[in-house]
Amino acid sequence: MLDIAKDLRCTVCQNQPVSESNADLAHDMRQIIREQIKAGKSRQEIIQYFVDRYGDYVLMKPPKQGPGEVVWLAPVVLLVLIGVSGFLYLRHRLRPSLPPPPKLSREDAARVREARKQGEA
Amino acid sequence: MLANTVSLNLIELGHFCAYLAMIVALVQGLAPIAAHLLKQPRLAQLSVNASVAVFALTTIGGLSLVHAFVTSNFSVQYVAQNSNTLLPIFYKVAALWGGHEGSLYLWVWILTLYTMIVGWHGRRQYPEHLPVILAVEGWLMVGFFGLILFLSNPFTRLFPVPAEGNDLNPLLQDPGMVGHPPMLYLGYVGFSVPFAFAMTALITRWRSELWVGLIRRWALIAWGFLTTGIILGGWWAYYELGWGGYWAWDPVENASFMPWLLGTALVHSITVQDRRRMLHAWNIFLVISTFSLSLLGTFLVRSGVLSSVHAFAVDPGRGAYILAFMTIVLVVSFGIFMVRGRYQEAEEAITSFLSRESLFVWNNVLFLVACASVLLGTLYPLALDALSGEKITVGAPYFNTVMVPIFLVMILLMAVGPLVPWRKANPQRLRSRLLIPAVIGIAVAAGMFVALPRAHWTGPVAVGFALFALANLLIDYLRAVAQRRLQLKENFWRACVKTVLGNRRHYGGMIVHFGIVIITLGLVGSGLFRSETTVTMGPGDVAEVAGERLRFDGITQFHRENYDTVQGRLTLLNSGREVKPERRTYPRQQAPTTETSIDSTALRDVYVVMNESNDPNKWAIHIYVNPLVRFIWSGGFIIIGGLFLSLSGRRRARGAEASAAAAEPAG
Repeated sequence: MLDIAKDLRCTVCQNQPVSESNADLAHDMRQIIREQIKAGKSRQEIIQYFVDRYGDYVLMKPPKQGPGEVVWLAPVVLLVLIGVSGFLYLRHRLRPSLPPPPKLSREDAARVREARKQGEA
Repeated sequence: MLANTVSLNLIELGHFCAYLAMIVALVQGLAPIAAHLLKQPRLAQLSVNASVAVFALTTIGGLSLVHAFVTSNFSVQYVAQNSNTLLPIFYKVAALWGGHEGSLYLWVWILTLYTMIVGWHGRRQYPEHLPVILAVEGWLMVGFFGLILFLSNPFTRLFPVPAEGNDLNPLLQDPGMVGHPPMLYLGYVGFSVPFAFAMTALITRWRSELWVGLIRRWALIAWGFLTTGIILGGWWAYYELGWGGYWAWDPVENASFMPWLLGTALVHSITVQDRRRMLHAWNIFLVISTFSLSLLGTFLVRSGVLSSVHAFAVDPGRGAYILAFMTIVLVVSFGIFMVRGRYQEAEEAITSFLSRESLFVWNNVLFLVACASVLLGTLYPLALDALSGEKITVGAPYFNTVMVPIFLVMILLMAVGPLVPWRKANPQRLRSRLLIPAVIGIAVAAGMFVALPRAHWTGPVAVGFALFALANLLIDYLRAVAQRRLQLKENFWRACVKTVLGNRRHYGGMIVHFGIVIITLGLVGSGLFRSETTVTMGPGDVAEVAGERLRFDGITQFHRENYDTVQGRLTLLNSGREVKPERRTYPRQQAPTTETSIDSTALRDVYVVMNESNDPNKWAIHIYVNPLVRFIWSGGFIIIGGLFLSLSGRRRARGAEASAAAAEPAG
């Protein structure tokens, strides 16, 4: 009973599940849940009964399709995005990008060759 | 009559002082700008004097309000709405922040207090940057005074003067509620100091190694107050609201939790910047975001947008002002960050993925994901309702599903992180160090899986991780003690104390981690292993929950200073102790309120709520048995203790660094 009431919102309260509210409506809703359990209905059927009457608003967890999809996808997307950024940052810092040595101009290169030859000689 | 005139004049004086404070705050904000434009550097010093004057003026305004509350001056509308003559004096003073207008005033008063302290503290240490820091704070004050004086003014007068005031909400007539808002605000506003430093650093191109060490303390202080405020709020909710829990993922709670999450990321990443000269720009981003979330937290709770999106529109002026203020703060601060953020000096490179700095980055990734998820879960239903009229609920089960796994990984990181040295860890050595703690953690988790097969999987995993962390902490500490004894030939106890005192920053942090371990155990115990039942009981009836047997002995009725009460008496047959839940009736409130009664021991709380039943001679008694709740509050005290230790450490000097390096695990 409590298990079902925990996942249903007392629709006249501020953010309280049916299981914890003292409002009259929550009291009635608990009564309905009890009766339906006695009538042998499944958890799924009972929750659907309330959704049919109050809409998705009555679910403490938003449904995974429709407008509630965003809140379910977002943490995963955020984890991937922020995680990958963290990884890229670390990899970027791991090999400090030292500037490549400047290229020698042709004359300088010739002078280096010249100097080498002289050194060898 | 004379006394009345005096108090009338006092409130007008206070009102006048508040206006004056706004003008002086404006001067404080303008002084450095004027100094720059007019090329008169000395003009900037004006903002230092202004910060003292603003504090004095705001204090006078606040005291005049306190005076109005204490003398029950109902010609002040705010007093008439939130207080009455029957209220004990303690709550009359606290009623100052019982409503919207007064709590904003408290906010701005705390802001002027912090600003004055920064002004005093900085006049020797960083005099050339001080005026700009104070100017940033000054502009924030102007924004808040504007909201207070023009849109939600606590000084507004009421005519005709009512003979008696409304009541302070009975839920707020409670010691927990007296301390909770100021603590929370000290935390929120505390983050304005790092914010002002970061803005100043960007504007004046202050080299980060010179200022990051300075904001570390401020950030820790703000974080400590925020943590205290949140735990105090949980404690209050636990014994006052009567549903057996302490945290409901309510938007109001999330509002304070978001800055806490980013603030936690901040106090970690500041350390990286301080020690390893990395993450400069990232820290500035975190500072700005944390403070913005503090503002958001204040406004979410104080704008009425949460009770319904439409309440926000009932008072369009206030809503629009708040929205505009937030937008300006965000645009200006992030704008300056975008333009100036690039000047930041070159960063040091990372030597290895397996290093403390790298793990700190992962810590930040997790806290950021956690914070962004809470933000979205809190704001999305509001936005959806406002934009499309479609209503959905994002409640506790959602947040538990999403946040608990993130929290578990955080604990794991917390267990390993402090053992990993800066720069580069030796994997073999690390493995051998982690072996014993890991075996302990796994053994306990496996034992729990076997012993409690019906518990949710997160329970054993969380306990396993927490004990893994605990074993790591202890072994690491004992190793440092042993090393010290070997070097200095000290006796055991002396070495134990000296090790901690010699490296207060490190061990302060480790004590905070220890507090988190304790809280984790408390959360698992009370979150997953709660038992509850409701029984209709008459005198002599006995109820049994989770091995606890309670006998209902009857009721007593009596009258107190500001309420009438019906008190039930129940005896816990296992220990012989009594619990006395109440139904209270406050004047001016229609429905009676429940007052829970808790019998608390180290291992479990028996939590009793009494309600009327259909039978006038019987009462509906709701009994919860909550294991390990005390661990949560104790963990809070441990965290505060660790924080004090960490703050008491002197700023890192060259000499201290050598001993710190000795005490830290060497790769």
